Amino acid sequence: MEPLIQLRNLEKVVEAGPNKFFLLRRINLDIQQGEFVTIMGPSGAGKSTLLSIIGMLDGAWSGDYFFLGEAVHKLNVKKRNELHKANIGFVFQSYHLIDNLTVFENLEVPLSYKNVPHKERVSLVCDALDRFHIVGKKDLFPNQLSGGQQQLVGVARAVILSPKLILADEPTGNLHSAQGEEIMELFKKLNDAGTTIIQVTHSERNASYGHRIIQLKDGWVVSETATAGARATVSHPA
Amino acid sequence: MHALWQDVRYGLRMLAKNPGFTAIAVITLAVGIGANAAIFSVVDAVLLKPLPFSEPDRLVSVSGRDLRNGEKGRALSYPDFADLRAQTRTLESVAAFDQSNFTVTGNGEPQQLQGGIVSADLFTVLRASPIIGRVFVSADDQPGTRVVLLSHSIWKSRFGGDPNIQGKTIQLDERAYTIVGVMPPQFQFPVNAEPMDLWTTMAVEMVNLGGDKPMTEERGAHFLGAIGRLKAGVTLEQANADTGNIAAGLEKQFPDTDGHLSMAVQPQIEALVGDIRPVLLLVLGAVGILLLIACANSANLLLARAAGRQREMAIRSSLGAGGGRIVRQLLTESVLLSIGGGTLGLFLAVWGTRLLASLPSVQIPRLAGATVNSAALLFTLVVSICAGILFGLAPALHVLRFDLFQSLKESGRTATEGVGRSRIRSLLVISEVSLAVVLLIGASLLLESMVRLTRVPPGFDPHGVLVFNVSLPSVRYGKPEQSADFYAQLLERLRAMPGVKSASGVEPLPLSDDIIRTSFQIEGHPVPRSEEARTQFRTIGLNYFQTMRIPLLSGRDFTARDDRHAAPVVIINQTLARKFFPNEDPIGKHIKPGVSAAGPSLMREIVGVAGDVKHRNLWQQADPESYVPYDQVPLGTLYVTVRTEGDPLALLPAVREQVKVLDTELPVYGARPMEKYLADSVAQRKFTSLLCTVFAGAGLLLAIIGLFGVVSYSVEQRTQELGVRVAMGAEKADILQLVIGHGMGMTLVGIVFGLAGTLAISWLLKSQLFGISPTDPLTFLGVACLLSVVAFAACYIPARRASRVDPMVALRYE
Ligand SMILES: Nc1ncnc2c1ncn2[C@@H]1O[C@H](COP(=O)(O)OP(=O)(O)OP(=O)(O)O)[C@@H](O)[C@H]1O
Ligand SMILES: [Mg+2]
Repeated sequence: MEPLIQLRNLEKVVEAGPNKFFLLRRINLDIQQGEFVTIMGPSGAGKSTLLSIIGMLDGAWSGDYFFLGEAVHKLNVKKRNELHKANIGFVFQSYHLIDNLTVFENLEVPLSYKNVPHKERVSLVCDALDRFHIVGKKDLFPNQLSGGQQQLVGVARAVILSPKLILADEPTGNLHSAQGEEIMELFKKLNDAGTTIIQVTHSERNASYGHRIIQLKDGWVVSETATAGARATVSHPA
Repeated sequence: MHALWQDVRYGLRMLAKNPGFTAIAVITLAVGIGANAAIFSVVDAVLLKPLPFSEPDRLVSVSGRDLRNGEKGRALSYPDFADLRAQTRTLESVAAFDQSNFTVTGNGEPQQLQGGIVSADLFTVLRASPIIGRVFVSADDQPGTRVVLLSHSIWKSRFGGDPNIQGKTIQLDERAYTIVGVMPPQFQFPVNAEPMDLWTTMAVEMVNLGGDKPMTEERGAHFLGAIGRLKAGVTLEQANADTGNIAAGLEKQFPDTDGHLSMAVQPQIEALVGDIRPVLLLVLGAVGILLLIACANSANLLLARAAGRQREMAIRSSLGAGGGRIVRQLLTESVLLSIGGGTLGLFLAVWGTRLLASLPSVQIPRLAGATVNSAALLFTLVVSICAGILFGLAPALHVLRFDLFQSLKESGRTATEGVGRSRIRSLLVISEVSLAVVLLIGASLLLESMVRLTRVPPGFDPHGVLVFNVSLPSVRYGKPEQSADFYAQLLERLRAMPGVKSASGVEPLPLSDDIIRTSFQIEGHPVPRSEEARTQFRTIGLNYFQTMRIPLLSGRDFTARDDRHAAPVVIINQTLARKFFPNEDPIGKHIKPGVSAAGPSLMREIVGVAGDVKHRNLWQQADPESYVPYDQVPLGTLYVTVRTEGDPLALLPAVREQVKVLDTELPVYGARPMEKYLADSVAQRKFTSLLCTVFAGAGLLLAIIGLFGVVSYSVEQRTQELGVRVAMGAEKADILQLVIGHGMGMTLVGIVFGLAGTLAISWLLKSQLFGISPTDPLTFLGVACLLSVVAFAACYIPARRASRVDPMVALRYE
């Protein structure tokens, strides 16, 4: 099977006056379909930066990036956005729900940008509410939910269109451990169902849910290690 | 004290840091305050200021009322006035007055003066006293007396303020008048736009000119205004019943002349400004709406800004600043803004009032006396300051009322501003838009009326026509033939001048406010005199129709052969022909208009039918009308009309020369292009429509600033949300749509409310409109479209900024 993501010599530079800073340095990385990858590293290592490049929100970098064989580095903004829209779901550390929309409406947001017909939208949202056991909360506003519940909605929003890839930047950072575990179990279930997941976390415990840990430091990939739970079938596809 | 100074300094620094915000807030307030204070000052000067006489509430105007058509405000005849004065039981005193031009000679250049011809008791009615000499006494009303009171300004300018002026004589129309006194500078009567130079008594009207009965003995000659003073404790109703009774008695006694005629009183101030009141109230309403918009706008600006500083407030308060301290800081800033706006508003008000008061020929009485009214200024200032304080304080109260943690949490984590506050701001914008719609529709309707009005053909061609007067002193021109011959010679000379196409004369001039109406009989259809139909009446020189380019529809024009010895002739207008000779040819028929200059009224042969002319104003239908040759009916003095090839006024010096050749003692006065009369006839409407348009424009501008502010601010507040949406797959177009949709949503709701509101109050406009319905759908649609387009532009700018939001930056706010 073709890898989902191939990064070749990916670099990101920012200029501050006369000085250049490398945020990412010669990143070479393959991520297979169905993998659950964890990115770790000290603060400022470039984890979020890498995630937003993989998520195609950031287009200012050099090197090669293939997504399912498609050369992302050759795409214009519009095409890149389309690819992003079709394949990727984001989960944020601070949930980023829209405050003046209800849970139901929040879940509708990604659908509205894909021109999903109204009927289908309602059924998709209802499915998601069901799947995440938040039917009872559908008319509440985000500030009426606990942090864990908000993040559940955040995850539900990310997966509602069944993306191939879920990117999660410290999704449990603001939650206490029980809530965090719930989210991680959810990711595991999604991964088992075939969704590729890339998460950024500082927690070893969260990392243990994944197959592989990529360590970043000062923009360099410093190590890649398989975790105990890694399944051979996934890390070494036939 | 030190703390206050610190607050002020900090406040100024904050305002200077946001020059855009500060400028908009100050200008908004200034426009609201300035416009309101200026218009209120005008309203005060024109409508509210009491007449400058003692106990002005008791002064009433007495006028005739036609019982057949309800027409009010008709002039009285001297005999009717005399009977009123003798019989009234409700009026303490009553006086009659008229106006005339006098030529003063000797003692310097001949000069044309405005004079009041008043019955001697006028000064008793007004309770006015002179600064030199005495006012009139009843003996001065006796025929043969010639006395005059000077205005302060003519006393100064022509007599050098001579303190011993009393008893000296002045040559008026070549007769000697004895000066009995000088009135104080502020005395003016009649209280209207043009000040009088002098006053004389009714005695001058009582002389027999050329052997006729004097005007004052003709019960049918209605030419006098009357002013009375109510007895103490008498109500208007009682006075009206009284004058009505007297008129009923006169009607019985003199059915021929007083048939269908009643008399009514109304407060003098009402007679003076009654017509202009609805117009000014309309403008006042417009400017009031503008003030509301301005208040909403500044409230909105302050709310937006204060909301942006919620976090600062929370942090300050967490650092130990007491609630009072925070409130004081915000209050200081609001008050600083209000003072800025108020000061600029004051300048606007002073400048605006001065501008309005100095506008030439707006045809609004007492307008020239308008000065900034301090009460109005204070009122608007207080209103705006209160609005500023109220909304400037809202966020501080929020901090005080809700706990700190909540506030910090909210501003720290939410992607959008609090729902409640954003709702208030939306409501404010919606009301601004609705009010702007009301203003815009009102102004558009007035403007469209104006445009339609100026397109109304007046029935003649005023372009290139010069009009002037020559007053003929009765000493040398008292006999009808004398004045007729003078004008015939003058016209002859004018026609021979280079640059003159044709010349003629007319009395009264179209659109000059002068009007002569008379009843007439139709030969073969005898009716009692009191039942006779009425016609406007004009006496004209030769070539009048040609000079004014009034089409002659059938028959012929007057010729030199239609002189005083020839058979009496008349030319009627189309309306008279249609109304009284339907389905028959009026040419050759005879009518007898009841006006005589030399001898009794005569049956006159209709020799022609002329096109209708808008004689009163452009918006009223033409009346039935009769023209007769001046040679046959030499009524008073003519307005001389000259059709020129170029600029009419350029010909004036040459015209003066021609007059001088005929008579060196005659001043030419009142020279104006005919187009000026036309312009003056619509000046007041133009004034209101332009004023309302300016206010509507200002209202639109403020509403759009408000909308722009709210949309921009919400974009700023929603940066994070927008980033999230982009991360969720929103494209540029989606973001544009989101932001513009927000703004346009408010706009459309505002427009709907505005349209509904206008529908509800548009009947108020009806009397000021011409040729357009107060609910004209095209205007409503047009304003809705205009506002939508402008609002769209105002939303597009922040929307474009929003669509450029970099999700990377937006999401970094963690
Ligand atoms: N647009 C930018 N311009 C300049 N520097 C940037 C920019 N974006 C990120 N950086 C810098 O790049 C480095 C990596 O940032 P990044 O957010 O990827 O770190 P991180 O690994 O996610 O850290 P953390 O664990 O704290 O979230 C940081 O030092 C940051 O200051
Ligand atoms: Mg990060």
